[in-house]
Amino acid sequence: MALSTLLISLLVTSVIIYFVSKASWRVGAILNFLIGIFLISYVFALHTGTTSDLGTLFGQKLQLTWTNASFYFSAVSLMVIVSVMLFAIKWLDSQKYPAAFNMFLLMMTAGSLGVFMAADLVTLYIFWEIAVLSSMLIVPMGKKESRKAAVIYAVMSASGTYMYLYGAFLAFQRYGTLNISEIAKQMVSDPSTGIKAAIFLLLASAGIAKSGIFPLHTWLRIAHGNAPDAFSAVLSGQLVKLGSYVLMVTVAVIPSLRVFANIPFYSGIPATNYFLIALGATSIIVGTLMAIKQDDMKMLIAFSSVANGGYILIGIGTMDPMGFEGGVLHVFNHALAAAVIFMAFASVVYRTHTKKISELGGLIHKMPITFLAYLFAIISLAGIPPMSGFISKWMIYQALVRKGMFITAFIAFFGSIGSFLYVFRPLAGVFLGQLPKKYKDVKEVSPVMWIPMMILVVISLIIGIWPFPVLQPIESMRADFGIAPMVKISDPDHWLIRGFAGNWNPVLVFNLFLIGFIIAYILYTMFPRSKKVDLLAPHKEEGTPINIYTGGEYIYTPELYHYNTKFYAGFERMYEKHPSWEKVLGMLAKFFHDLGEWVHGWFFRPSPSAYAFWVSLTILIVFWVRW
Amino acid sequence: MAAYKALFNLVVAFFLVLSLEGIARKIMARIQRRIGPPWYQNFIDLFKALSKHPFSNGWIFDFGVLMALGGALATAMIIPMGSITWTPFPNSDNFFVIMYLFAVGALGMAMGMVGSGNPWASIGVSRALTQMLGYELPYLIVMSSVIFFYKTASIHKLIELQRGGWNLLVMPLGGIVAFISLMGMLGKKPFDIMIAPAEIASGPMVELSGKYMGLLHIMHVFSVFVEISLFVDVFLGGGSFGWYLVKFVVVWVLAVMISSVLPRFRIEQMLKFYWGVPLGLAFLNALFVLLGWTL
Amino acid sequence: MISLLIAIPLLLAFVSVMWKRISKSLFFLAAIVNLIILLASWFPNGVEIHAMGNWKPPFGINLVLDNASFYAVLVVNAFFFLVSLMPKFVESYGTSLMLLMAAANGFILTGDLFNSFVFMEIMTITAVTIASKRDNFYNAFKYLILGGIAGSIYLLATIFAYTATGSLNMAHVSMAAISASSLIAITTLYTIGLGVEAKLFPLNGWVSGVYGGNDLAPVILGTSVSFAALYMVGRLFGTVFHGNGAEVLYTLALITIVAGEVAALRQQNILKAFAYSSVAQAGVVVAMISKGTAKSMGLAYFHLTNDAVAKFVIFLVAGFLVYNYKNLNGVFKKHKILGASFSMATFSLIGFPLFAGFQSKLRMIMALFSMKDFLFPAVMLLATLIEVGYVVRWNVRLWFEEETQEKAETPVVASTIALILAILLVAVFLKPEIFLNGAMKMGNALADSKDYIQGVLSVVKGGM
Repeated sequence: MALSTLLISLLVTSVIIYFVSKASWRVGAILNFLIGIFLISYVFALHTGTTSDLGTLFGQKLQLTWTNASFYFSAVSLMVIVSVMLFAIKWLDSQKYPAAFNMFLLMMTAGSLGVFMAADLVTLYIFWEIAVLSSMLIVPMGKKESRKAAVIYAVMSASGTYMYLYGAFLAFQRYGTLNISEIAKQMVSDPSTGIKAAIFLLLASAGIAKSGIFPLHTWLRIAHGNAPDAFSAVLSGQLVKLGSYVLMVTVAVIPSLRVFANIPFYSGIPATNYFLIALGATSIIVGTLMAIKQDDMKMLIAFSSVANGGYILIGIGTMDPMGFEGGVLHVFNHALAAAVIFMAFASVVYRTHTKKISELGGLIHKMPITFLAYLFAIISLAGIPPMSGFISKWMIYQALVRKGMFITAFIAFFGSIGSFLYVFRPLAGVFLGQLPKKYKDVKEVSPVMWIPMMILVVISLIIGIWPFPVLQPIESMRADFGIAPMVKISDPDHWLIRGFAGNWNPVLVFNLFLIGFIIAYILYTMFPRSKKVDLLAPHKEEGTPINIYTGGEYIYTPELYHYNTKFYAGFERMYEKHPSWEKVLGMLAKFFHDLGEWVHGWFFRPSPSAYAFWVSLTILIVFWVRW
Repeated sequence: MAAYKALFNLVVAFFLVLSLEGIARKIMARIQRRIGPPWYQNFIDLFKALSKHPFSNGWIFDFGVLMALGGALATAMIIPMGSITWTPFPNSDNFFVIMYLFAVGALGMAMGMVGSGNPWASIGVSRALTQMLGYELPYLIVMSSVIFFYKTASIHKLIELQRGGWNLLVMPLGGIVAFISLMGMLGKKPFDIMIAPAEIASGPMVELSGKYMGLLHIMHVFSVFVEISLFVDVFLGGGSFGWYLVKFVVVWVLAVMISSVLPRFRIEQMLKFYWGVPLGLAFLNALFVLLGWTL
Repeated sequence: MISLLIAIPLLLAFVSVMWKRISKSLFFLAAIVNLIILLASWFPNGVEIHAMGNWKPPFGINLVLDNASFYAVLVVNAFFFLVSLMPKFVESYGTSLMLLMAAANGFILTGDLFNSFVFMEIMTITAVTIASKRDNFYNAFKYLILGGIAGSIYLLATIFAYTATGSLNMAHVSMAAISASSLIAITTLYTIGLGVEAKLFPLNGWVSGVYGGNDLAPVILGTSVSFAALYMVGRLFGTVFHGNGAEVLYTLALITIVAGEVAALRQQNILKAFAYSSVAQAGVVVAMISKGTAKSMGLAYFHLTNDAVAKFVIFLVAGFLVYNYKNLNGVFKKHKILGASFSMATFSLIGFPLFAGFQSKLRMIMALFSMKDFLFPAVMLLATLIEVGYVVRWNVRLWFEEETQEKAETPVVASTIALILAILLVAVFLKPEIFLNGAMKMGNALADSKDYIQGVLSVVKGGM
């Protein structure tokens, strides 16, 4: 099946899915899942270099090409989407609009795949908008606040998209083509730095808005935080990666090092790239600090997505072989981790109907599998071995240190250690600690919901131990883009990942951890058996005090003896009076509203006599100007 | 061969640090004009703890302890002890790998202790994590400049490259900052806010009993080994095994002596301290390295 | 033949005064006959004129049917036809609608400046009567005043043109050499005179009140009449004055775009919100016309057609909602088809892919870039951004908010028409030629004044 046929039939199928789902949403969801499975197998069977025509639009050929980059991004996206599709088969019974959800989810999948396949800027734009439109229509299916979230999402996304569109046509006007690789070729020989930089930044702004990079990051909090719970997994795990893809296209497909070789800024990195890196660094700071203080667990991870988007951008922006591979690998890691985390949260919300950390606690006793999924996902998100998240962070650090970018490195370290802080908050507040009495009858979610989480966790773990299957396509991608193609980073023959400053062997490190764990376990069994303390005793029998150290007091209300509000109070206090970018953007929106109010008040509301006045004034002004 | 070396690492770490902890109690006592326990007191304490019947607060509590100890053991196995001869895994002794593998243990401990269901443990963990944010940043910046300077992050190579002169002397600012960070890593006063026995009932350790206490003590032993070894290897030039031990002891004693005369920082004070002078010096050091102004 | 386009509705309008009861049917009859006539003379690809009373141009009044006026008349009558299909909607306004149809057709077809003034006046007056439906008198009155002022200025411009050239025939004026200073006066006055109907800032104060006042006015005034007025902008500034005074139009149009969008953003009434949106779209079209090339004008009318179709659906649905529900939250849950059509139309308005608006918007931007105009695309994209804001807000509110009211009866015919037009928008995305070919022919005809002059002044096909 040609690529274009695939995409178009997916779009058509999505409408059919709607009507099927109207009859039985579960059948629709299962069909969706099967289509997803088919897509994965399809994607893996495709050969790079496959092209297909989508038709012509205003004399320009719209083309789809299958490259290493399309394969990588599509595979990651589908992994996330298909897991959510499986998850949704059960989860949808808590939703109001299952049929529309199924339709738009499939439509969004088609749009995303189209973006990754697009060979020219307009095709990319078309599928981009399809993905945005359909995801934008899923967002307001959530709770009350999600309606506003959809609007903010749409506007912020559009602000990036339209800048991109402007840039695309600016490129077309100058180079006479919309084909990305053609433009890249011509940009190298274009003498005018100003226009090149303008095109570069305009194209990048779509990615900036989409992947939640400062200053267009504010929609993530509200949209990821309020979207239907399982869809947040897609938003954060997959849709945001469309932005990373566009950023990669602007930075790497357009060979920014060569195009902007005349404006080096620091350590061989051009000023344009450095500007993006600075934005990425700002996102890390903003995302981390804001994530640490959130009480809403979904918003917490939404801000973490802002920070991780920053990592990806920094990694790719350096255009260093290590940094590039690290940034691209981070796409994979963050996609999986964020998807699992949001699915775990969706499971929690599915059972408890709240997403406030301060209202939860002790769910490990009731939902151990969800807990484990979350645990492994955050290990990956925080970049701790043996999960895959570590590898990409390691690579990005290597690149930053090699380039001597100490301030960016500092921010990356800050984000990394900050991520320990914020991922621990839901762990401690939601899953560990004391279970509030109202949740004593909560049960683990059904296997249909935890299996997809576990699959992603296992994939992430395996890639953390044996990362070469993912590093291989990234390496061929890097070769495609001509970023130091001689350097070999992954060395599967010696089980090594080679950095500029030393190597490491992921298998060995995992084995060491395993040995350490085994030794610990042997020690554990050698010594006397422990007696169990029943933390759920107060739930089982009314009037039983909780059975932990309480300084000698009898405490019967476990939820009050649970530390989950303002977890890092000491640290939060230090920046509680921070300036709010959301407010700044709110002011901008208010400005347009007020401008509208003003225009309305002065020109549209008045009485006929005022109209006559405006008419005469216009005549006078026009005459005055023209004479 | 590597396996034996790794095992040797563990043995050395266990006896060395446990004895040094006893010695530390002795030193502190002498500074405070007490007599203090004998140097082997910590061995006695440890085995006593391990032999008692403990209480467990659920499976995650057990799992957390195992993960903590496992992570610390794994890290201790990678650490080179002063030279390539005593480097068990020359291909994986990358600085960042060590730092992050080390975090597995910390995460395991934090998770297990919060899993005990006691809010004091949670408060302690929240403080410990905040403290990590404090000391890691200057430390990592210094380490980045070291790696940038020597073009390698492999610890044994760093040791070799210091033949011409200790790193402490090549970049003294960096050495000082790393030592201050080391104090925070070790949780020595003034940076022991996360334990603070009088305020939060020893924080993370509040629910520990019997063998859990013992196992986490062992974990602590290996952590101390990893932290001080890194400092000795990277800044004091390693050397033969004997020299390495001497340097190790000196660093430890110095840290103990400093900590025994200082009071405790509050959490904000700790952050402001680390993000003030040490971080500034770390950046200054990085600037010097960039400009080539090393001694 | 072509004079029938004016004569039939005019005649039937007079008939309907006597048989009020059947005015709706007569309206339908007029619309369908007109449509048949038009289909019979499909794209003349030349200039056909009808000289009234066999007074050969430039002396008498003549009607001109070339590709431009044909396409305009086709679109206008098509919308009248759609309205005539909905008798519930028409109520007792059959007579007015027929008069309006006659006037609009005459306004488009006439080749005489004074005659066009007359038709414009009729158009305004009948439009005012339609605007006053549902007791919307004050707003209709405002429109009347503004329309009157505009009419007198249009007349003044016509008089100036007559003094300068000694002729009222458009072709004749077009070929005459007019002194620069009188040209300034004439074009400026025409800008103002047409500006009211073409919804140019700041002459468009009437729009929100009239469109927002009842359900019939926006549907017909926002589509047909607005198309007719914007056709005249192209005819006068493109064909007759060869692009003189275009920069004034351009400036005013850009201001119109921004003013319209920001006013729409703050609007709480759905009809008024989209009324302002149609102001902004008119601004886009006028700015595009003012660029003056055949391509830019063709694209302008392509965009206008897409916009008119979308607006027809939007106003149709919104009008139904506003007069059946007090609170619009979540009403589309009860009216899925109306809702789907509305959403599709609004997305087409923004220019999302899959819908017609995408085709015209992107083409316009591309054409503008190739003309090295970097300001207009930026303004257009900024306006679109604001548009995204309120369009999504309305959609979300109408689809997802909690509903509060009992279901009103679904208007079957209106739903069907809305759905068909919405599907047409998708079809135009897939095959833009549906509208584009005609629009481009129109653009070519408007830009090619030589052909027009030759056609009008030499070839005379007289007789009814």
